[in-house]
Amino acid sequence: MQPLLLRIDDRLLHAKVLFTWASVLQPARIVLASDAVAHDPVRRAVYATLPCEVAGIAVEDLRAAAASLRDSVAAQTLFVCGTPDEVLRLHEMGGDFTRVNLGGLHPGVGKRPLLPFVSLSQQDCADLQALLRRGVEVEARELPGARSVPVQATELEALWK
Amino acid sequence: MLTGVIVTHAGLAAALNEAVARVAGDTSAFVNVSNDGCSAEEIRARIAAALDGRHDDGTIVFVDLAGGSCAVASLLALGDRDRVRILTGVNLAMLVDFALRRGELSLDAMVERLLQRGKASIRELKV
Repeated sequence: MQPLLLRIDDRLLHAKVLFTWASVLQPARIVLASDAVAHDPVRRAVYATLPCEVAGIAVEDLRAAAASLRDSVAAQTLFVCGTPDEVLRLHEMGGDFTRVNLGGLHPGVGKRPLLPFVSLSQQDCADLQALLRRGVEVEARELPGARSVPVQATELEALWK
Repeated sequence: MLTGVIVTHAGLAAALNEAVARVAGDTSAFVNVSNDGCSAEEIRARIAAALDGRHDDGTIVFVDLAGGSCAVASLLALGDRDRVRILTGVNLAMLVDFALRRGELSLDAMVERLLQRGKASIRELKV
């Protein structure tokens, strides 16, 4: 079941997700899929209690989120992960999706810019290439009104050559 | 005396602080934090650093959007600090009121007052 949106964003849940994307897509549910957040009581409580006028927020570890991605309700769910690695693991765990949105990965040590809003480490590139090989389309798009930019394996290879 | 930290998207915090200085004449009430170009952890670290520099009777963190990265990072930056409160939906009326009365009120009384003043400043004007 292809989810309403599966987004990679290192800020996780924030204004662009809870206000802009949620306002346009009107999901029935928002799932933050992260082992790190799900297993940290403080971070879990902070994210799970964020106010969102559109939909309820759930924090799930990757195993639970992969199960949610196989459920029919996924079609009305907006999923957010923090890294390409987490999305690859969701797919390896049987999460059912064929498209992922690359929405925001900030610059940092050991990262190179692919687009103004997407900087990738060598491992990020390898994980995205693995997703492409598994038949998952990768699009870069920060906001719903922006143009969708398909991300190709050749670009990812060239970024770290 | 109470102190404030304004945490917003883009350059809004600096603009609000400048506006407070023009209206209330107080240039020391607030420290600005912007989330520009920051990862979630970088925003949290900026706010924590701003809070570490405040050694007062209490600090109020003024945030723009309740569900935004600034709000999340403010909550995560709190740690075990017990003299810090977070208010969202910051507007100029709240900040001017804070600047004018921050030497008079306790932290609890100020929070209660600003929640009322902030909401009361949003109204439709008609002739």
